[in-house]
Amino acid sequence: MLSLFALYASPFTVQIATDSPTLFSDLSRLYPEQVLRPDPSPAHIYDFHIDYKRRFSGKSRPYHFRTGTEHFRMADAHQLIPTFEWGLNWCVSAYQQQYLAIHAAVLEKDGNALIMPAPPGSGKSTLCALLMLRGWRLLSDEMCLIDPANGQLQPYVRPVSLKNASIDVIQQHQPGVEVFHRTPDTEKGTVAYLRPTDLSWQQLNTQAKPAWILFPAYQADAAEPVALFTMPKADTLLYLAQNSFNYAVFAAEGFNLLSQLVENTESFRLEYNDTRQMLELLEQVLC
Amino acid sequence: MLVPLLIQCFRDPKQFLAKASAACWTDLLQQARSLGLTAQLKALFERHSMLDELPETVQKHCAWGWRYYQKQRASLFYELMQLEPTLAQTNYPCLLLKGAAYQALGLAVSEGRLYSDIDLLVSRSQLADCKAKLFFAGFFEPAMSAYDKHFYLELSHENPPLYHVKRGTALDLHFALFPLAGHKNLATEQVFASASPLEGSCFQVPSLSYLYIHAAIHFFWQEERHKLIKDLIDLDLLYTQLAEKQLLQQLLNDSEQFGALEPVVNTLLLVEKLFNRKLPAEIASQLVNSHERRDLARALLLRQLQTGTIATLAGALWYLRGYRHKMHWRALLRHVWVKSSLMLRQRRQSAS
Repeated sequence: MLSLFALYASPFTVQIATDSPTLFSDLSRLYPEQVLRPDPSPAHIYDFHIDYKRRFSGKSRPYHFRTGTEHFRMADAHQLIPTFEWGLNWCVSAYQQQYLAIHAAVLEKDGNALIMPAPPGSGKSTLCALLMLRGWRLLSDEMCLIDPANGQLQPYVRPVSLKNASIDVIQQHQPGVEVFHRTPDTEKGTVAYLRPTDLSWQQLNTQAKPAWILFPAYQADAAEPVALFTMPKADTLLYLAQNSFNYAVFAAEGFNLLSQLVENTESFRLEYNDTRQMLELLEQVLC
Repeated sequence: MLVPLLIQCFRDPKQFLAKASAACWTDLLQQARSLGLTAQLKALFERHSMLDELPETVQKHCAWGWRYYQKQRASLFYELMQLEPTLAQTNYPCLLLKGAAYQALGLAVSEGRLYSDIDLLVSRSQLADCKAKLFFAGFFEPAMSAYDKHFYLELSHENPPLYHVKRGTALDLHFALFPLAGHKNLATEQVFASASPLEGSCFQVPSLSYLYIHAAIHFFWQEERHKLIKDLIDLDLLYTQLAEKQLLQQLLNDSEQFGALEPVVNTLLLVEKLFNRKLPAEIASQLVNSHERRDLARALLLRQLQTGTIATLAGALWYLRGYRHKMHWRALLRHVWVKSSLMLRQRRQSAS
């Protein structure tokens, strides 16, 4: 049976049509009631319409994630949640041009935001989850949205995605923390999700002032358990530009926004192999 | 007949705004995004001075689309500037076609229109020279089989796509407006005769009526289905400009002389019907009495714009019909024969 529901993950609203009997209840473990709503409002214009339906495709991966006529990918029934989360990220990163978007995690404490751009495997998501669990407000674990109107960071609060070893690291550091939808054998290995904290959901539309840019690098064989280096601003700018989803589209405005951003923030490279010491040092330096 | 939302909106945006529900807007935005038409919607609303009256979300999406379009337009002009010094060395005309021509002329149809490659037209006798010049400017032709190359040069209407080695730009170098395998005997020299130079540039552009004719033949004599709505919107915008400049009679004369009256007559009838355009009486009467009316083909087209099994069936017939136009049956038989024997030979080789 086809069901229709809506996701108000500010600043984007999405309407979802699916014939999966479990998608809504699975998502309700990750999103609160005010964000995930069972009936789309007839008076609201949605940014995206997503079709997530079963279609014939041979023996496996029957669910197709599409927005309009654009196909994203197919999913097995037991991988519905990861594919949904990736698909939603794809819609936003491919089509929104309101914010300059950078592939990075963003958190905030005492009015100051920390941006963590880093390649997969650097420990970005782990660090993001740990800081959130220590009371930092999550803005996003995936997409840093810079508002060209004021240079502030727009939250896009969504579940934190953990991959492979980081799932155990989080559970060791924070015994009792609930990890949802642990899904093995996906394209990215085993993935699982953390629900953002209440603080993060409550302020899902409160922008934050960028203060620091941090490039984490987990190095198992490093000589020091933790080391923090200042990054040259020009290097930071280039790295952010290369890891932006729409820097080229913003053209000169994009360059000006990033220049302003690196000018008004401090940038660091963080190498570590001891997570506990790293967190202590980080909070000492930043707060 | 249920007219697709995007056509309803381009037909009369003010009426659309007056009637559209939120669900309608959600669908319209979704369909526009799928077809790359969001920025064209913004341009439409701006032409009707109604951008401020639109719901906030619609304005937001228009701004998203417009930002992307501005980037594309800047890239197109940059690429044309890069081509200038190379093609300025030629002593024969190089015509911009389709999107690049619309943009260079600043036509209404270019406002918000995205493009994926640059289309150029040179005379067939100058193709080798033009290609040589482009090779020296960094363009290359990816490797392909001898038959595929023969197909492009002898049966289609363009050289295999050229790509720039550094910038990745795709360039379609045409020597005709329509595949030679279609045996339509089109008078390509007339396109050159109609062309006028662009001020301050080495490029020329076909006249407005030849731009329409080109769009019409690629719409009415082809098999693709996925961008029919987008192409109809292009045709309507080109038609509107021809009508404003009172060039519709010229269009009919040119298309007859060129040998493509059929697609022009039938696309004008479609534009009249779908977009509720009022054709001038003398043009309308010529269309009513024209021997080039293809009522069945137009019915197939209109059917496809609906949903359901009959639409799918109409699409399948449209596909067969389109191929018949693009390739004369003798060329098609030969093509199928060569392709299948090549495939068979390849399979045998890989098996042994």
